[in-house]
Amino acid sequence: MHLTLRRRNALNGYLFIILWLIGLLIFFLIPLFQNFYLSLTDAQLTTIRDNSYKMIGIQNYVEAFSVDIEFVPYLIQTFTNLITDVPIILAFSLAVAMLAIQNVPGSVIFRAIFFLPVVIGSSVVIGRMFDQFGSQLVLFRSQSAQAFLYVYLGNQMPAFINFLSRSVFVLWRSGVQILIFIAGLKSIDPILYEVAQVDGASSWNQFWKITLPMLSPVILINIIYTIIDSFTDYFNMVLRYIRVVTFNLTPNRLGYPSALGNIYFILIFILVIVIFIIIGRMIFYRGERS
Amino acid sequence: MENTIVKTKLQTKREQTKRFSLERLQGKQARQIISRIVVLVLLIDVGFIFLLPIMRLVSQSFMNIMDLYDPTVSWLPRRWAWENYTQAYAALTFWAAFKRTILIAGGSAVLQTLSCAIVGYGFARFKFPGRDRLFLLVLFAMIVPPHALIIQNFIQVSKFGWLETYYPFIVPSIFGMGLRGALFVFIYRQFFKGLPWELEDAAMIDGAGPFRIFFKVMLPLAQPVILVVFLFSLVWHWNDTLEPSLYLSRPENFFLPQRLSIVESALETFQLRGMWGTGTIMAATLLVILPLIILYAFTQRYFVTSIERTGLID
Repeated sequence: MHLTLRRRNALNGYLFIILWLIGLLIFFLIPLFQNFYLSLTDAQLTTIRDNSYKMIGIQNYVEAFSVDIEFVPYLIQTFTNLITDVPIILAFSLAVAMLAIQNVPGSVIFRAIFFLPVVIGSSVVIGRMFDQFGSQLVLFRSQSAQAFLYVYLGNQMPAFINFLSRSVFVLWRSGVQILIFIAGLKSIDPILYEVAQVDGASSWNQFWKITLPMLSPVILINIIYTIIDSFTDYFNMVLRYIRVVTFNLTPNRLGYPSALGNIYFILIFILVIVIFIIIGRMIFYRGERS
Repeated sequence: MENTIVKTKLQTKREQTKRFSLERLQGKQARQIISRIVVLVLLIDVGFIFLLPIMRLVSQSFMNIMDLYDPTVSWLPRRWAWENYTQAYAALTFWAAFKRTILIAGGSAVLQTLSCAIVGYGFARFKFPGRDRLFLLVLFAMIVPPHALIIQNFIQVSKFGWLETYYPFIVPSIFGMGLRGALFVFIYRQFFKGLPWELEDAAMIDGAGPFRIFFKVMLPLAQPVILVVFLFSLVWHWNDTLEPSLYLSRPENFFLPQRLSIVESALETFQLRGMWGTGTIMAATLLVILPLIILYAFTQRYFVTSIERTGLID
């Protein structure tokens, strides 16, 4: 059989991804569609065995927003956390990355330390660490520091300490972002900085006019990564709630938590698409053969 | 006469400029040194924040109840409570659980590293109808949280009869799916996209087929990415508790992180709630992550440099 070059190329492409396509169908697409179907039924763990559940339309979705008093607050909390966390994580990881690429003794060791949180534990282990110390994690363990703060902040003190310990927790989740930023900073051509220096640009200007624009694709990657990471986080309230509804409440309903999961990931999906559209037009690839 | 005056004038001027530039140089050097010190102090600061929880973990894992309640003990215990570790080791059934975990997490990591490389290469280097739409599916799979599908996955796995076995962790990895498989496909695709086309052209002229090119030319070039993907995959599989808690319910099948909850319930039965059990739980937590820390200590040098060379950032 004789094939044109283009045909052969296409065939080889399919050969490379065929295994993945099968896997995608079995382990992702079919469960996804069944999930949508299930979310339109009143299925329970007891009724799913003998198929005695029935279609109830979008009633589950209506229930999530009108009857359930816990789901919507969790959802709102997740999104507000995200709005505060993403800028903190991004600013912090960019600052740390810029520190870490400076030529100081021991910079390799610091980079190793900054990446340690990723290796050590995304979930359970960090949970243990932070559960134990709770809000006392940081600097404000000592009574004198708390008394000192109380003088200035009055009743706002607990909230302030809460915020600080939360930010340490947030910083502990920025290992991957720091590394991606380091890689991004290193890929910027040093000639740009030299030219700017010759023209008399200050470091402040260099940061805004060179570093930030050159990093824009990396920033997009980091924003997306941070969003997905915090939405699938071990501590995420919505996901915890869905698990509780599925496995810990009797009767073990299956249709309703499916609907909750669908609402949740549709919202994430919309958010990611919006972010892609707003800031996603700056990515440039080498090596694309047209 | 006049000549000498001009000469001396010139000399002084030259000296002045020389001194001037020297001063400036010194000022510049001084500023450089100061900025380096500032950077170093900031780095130590931030590094301390990162290390603090781990240091606490280590320090408390050696404390017994007396030291934990003693306000004069902050970091170093008065008596090193090694029995925390023997208790934790026994309650975790460390060696058996460790072997299980390394076998399954390592096995799926190896399979995922290879299968995702094949898929990523397919997306990066071939033009076929529907490629871009299929690639959107990769991105889509990356976004959908695994939690959203747990009910279906559970039903599916029980239909296959895979409950209480390790198939649900291994089999999806063969197909390039599994834990964050889509992310790895994405990383590989970005890397392979950045390689020059002459590599394939030359190999093709020498008569190599696409699979031969992939295994003989492209995979060796992808070493830095392979290392990164493998380590990420291993770490994430190691730390994952969502899927194991769905598919495994017998404690003798549990992976290491899951055994932590066993340690807790064991302490509970002995009425060792609260501070009594803290030391042991800390020791157990440290034992669970110790293999990863050791692995990281050996590979971090390659890890950090190779993320920079993956071409992920371009």
